[in-house]
Amino acid sequence: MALTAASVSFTYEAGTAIATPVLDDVSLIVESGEVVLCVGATGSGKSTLLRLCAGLLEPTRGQIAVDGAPVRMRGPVGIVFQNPETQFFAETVAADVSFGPRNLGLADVDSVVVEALAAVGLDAAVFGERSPFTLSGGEARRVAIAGVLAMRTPYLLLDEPTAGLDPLGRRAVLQAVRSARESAGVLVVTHDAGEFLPWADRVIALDSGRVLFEGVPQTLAEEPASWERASLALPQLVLAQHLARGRGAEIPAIALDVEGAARALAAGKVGRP
Amino acid sequence: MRIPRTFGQYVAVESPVHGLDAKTKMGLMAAHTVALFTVEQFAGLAVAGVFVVVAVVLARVPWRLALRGIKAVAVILAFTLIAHALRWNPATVALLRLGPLAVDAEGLRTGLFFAARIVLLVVGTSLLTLTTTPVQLTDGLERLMRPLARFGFPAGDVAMMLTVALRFIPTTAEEADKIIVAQMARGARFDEGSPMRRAKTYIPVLIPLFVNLFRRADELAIAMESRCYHGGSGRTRLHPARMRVGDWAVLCCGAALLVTLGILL
Amino acid sequence: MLEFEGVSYTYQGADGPALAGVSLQLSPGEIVVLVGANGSGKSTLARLCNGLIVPDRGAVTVDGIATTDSERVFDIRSRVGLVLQNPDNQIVGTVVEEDVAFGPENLGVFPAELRMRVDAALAAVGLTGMERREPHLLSEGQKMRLAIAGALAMEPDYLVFDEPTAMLDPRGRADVLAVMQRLRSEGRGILHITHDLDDAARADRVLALDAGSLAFEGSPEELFGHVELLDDLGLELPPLAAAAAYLRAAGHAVPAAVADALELVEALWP
Repeated sequence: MALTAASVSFTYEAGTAIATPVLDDVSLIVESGEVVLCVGATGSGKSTLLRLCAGLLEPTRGQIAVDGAPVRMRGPVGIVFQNPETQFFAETVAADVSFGPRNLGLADVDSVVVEALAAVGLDAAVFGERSPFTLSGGEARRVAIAGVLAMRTPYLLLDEPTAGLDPLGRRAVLQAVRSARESAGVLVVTHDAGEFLPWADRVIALDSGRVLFEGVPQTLAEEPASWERASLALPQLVLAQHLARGRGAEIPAIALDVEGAARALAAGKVGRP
Repeated sequence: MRIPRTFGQYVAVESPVHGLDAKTKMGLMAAHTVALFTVEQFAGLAVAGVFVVVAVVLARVPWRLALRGIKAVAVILAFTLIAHALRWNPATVALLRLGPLAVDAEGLRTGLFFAARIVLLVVGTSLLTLTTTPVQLTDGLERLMRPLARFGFPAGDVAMMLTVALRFIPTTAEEADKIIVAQMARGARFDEGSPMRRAKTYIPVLIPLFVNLFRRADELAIAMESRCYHGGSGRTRLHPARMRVGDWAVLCCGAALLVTLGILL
Repeated sequence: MLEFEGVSYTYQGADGPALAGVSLQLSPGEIVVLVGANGSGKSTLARLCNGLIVPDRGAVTVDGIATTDSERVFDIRSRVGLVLQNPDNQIVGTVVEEDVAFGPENLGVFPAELRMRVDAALAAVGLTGMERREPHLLSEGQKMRLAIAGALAMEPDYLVFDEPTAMLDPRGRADVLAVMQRLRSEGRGILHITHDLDDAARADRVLALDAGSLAFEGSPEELFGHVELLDDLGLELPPLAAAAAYLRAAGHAVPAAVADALELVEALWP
């Protein structure tokens, strides 16, 4: 059971004078129950990859399949675009969240909506009847994510889910994304890897439309050169540990979370004052 | 799915026509239009035709683009031709007969005359937008409207409105594109059902589009006020569009030619 | 000096004040960062700075001129530039240089000087060579720098930024922060409003806003060391500063307000 992209290439306006190649021979697997992180600088093709995986664009070459069948629009892949709260249109939160499931003809939409809101940490009894246009940044973002979760697709794609939020909103959205993997395979696209890295199952790094790295976050954290080549900023926590190694500190494995990194630095300091 | 990112039909090449001031081109366009409506003989149309051909060649605009406007008026052209050419039981010698309807030389001549007038009008006027950027156009328009300011007409504000509208067309188009894709991904269908139903399916696109536009407008107002915008009067311009000697020469000669044409032929 | 003295402001029809009794000062040549969660009154404060709105109580003055002085409103707005979060909504021109010229054009500056101001503003934000580009074809980071250039062309002594980095990728963010440092070194006063403590580590002073009132004023070092206060404010230490807090708790001598990894490591291994 997986969402797979096999040697996918994509060129905008293929065959015309203004043809722009965006992706070149990209392969990727998202299995259900895992969070895969796709990192890349602006213009690396990561948003295009997301649209291809959702069946909103056709690859120029290669194939994208879900559980063996070619992906199609309105199929088994849900997608949350960047700043999804700018797409609200209904009078109430519940009505907006119910848009997707109604279009798909799901049964018992009301309880689907309640569950989707609960999955992002919002109580339908409190938020259901509010206008989506009066929510705070973090609440609005989570309602928008609930609107896609409510379609109950086995795969979920998110484009920069935390961009522009304040710390509380950010924390709530991260929690919602983490718990989404209980019901779906999740692919997150971002240029800011730090906050996802500690708990992502796998990560792929894109550079100018090509896969530069694929593996577990731990391994990527050990390769500062890959980050540089992809014009990505190494998360400061990771960078600090590499700099400490450069000064002779003994850090056996780069830690990705705050506590681990602090412990690694402290131990390094004790070993080599 | 992708909306073209450059707006308008401006053809970015360098040419003597591109180099003319927008006001010169607008003046010539006006003279051309007047001439077309006053000429009564084919000879007059022929001269106007030569004028248009010379202008297109000088402008280095591809013929395909210069003639594209004709497609938009194809129906009007066909109607004009048929309405003039077809006559009910004409007394004259018919070239073609369909029951009581017939085409005769006189009708065909009139039809062709009016059709040719429309073609020359369309090609001539589209040459203005093909060789002038939207900014130059609004600037030119502002200058031409300025005398009206004496009667309380807000020429500067109207020009500013046009500029801002032009600035936001690509942004809004991009945004509409994004919203449509996002709602499609949530299962919306825009291509099914009766026209009434189809109009309804666009609600989830139009509402967010309007809400976002109002938000934008609000911030834009703050940004413009912060930068001391206080109406169009008293503003200076980085590139004051000035009529040079060449502009006056082209305008005078061109207008003289076209007006004479209109009177004589 | 840009000065707030006991400023309160209530929006029409609102239940409570958006700002209550706020006093602050911004001098030329310093960067003051104002932090606060969403809804703490940050944007209201930004709009009070150049007289877009005027206080219900208290006074906002710019070099001694009150923002309520309706005859000097353009004077105030050319002394205090305002840059908003979303550059797309504040770019007016259809071409880069025409947008930068918009402010001084409104002031009636003559074309020759306009040209100089536009060139200087574009150079200050590193956009020289992009004069004829269409703004919507720029990257988000470039658009933000264009918006800054638009404010700079008014030749302001103070610049107020309302969450300028929220929508940017790390590179765009670094570019904008570098521009702020350069403007500061030219002697301009910068008020940077943000919810991201990462932006505050290099500030000369930090102010924190909570539900419309000032809850903190001091150095970044003091604020970063004040974890309970940050919690109350709905703010969060950036990961690196959080790691520094752990190290400090374990008895290591590292600064609380670390701006980057190098600073932390240099403190550990001097």
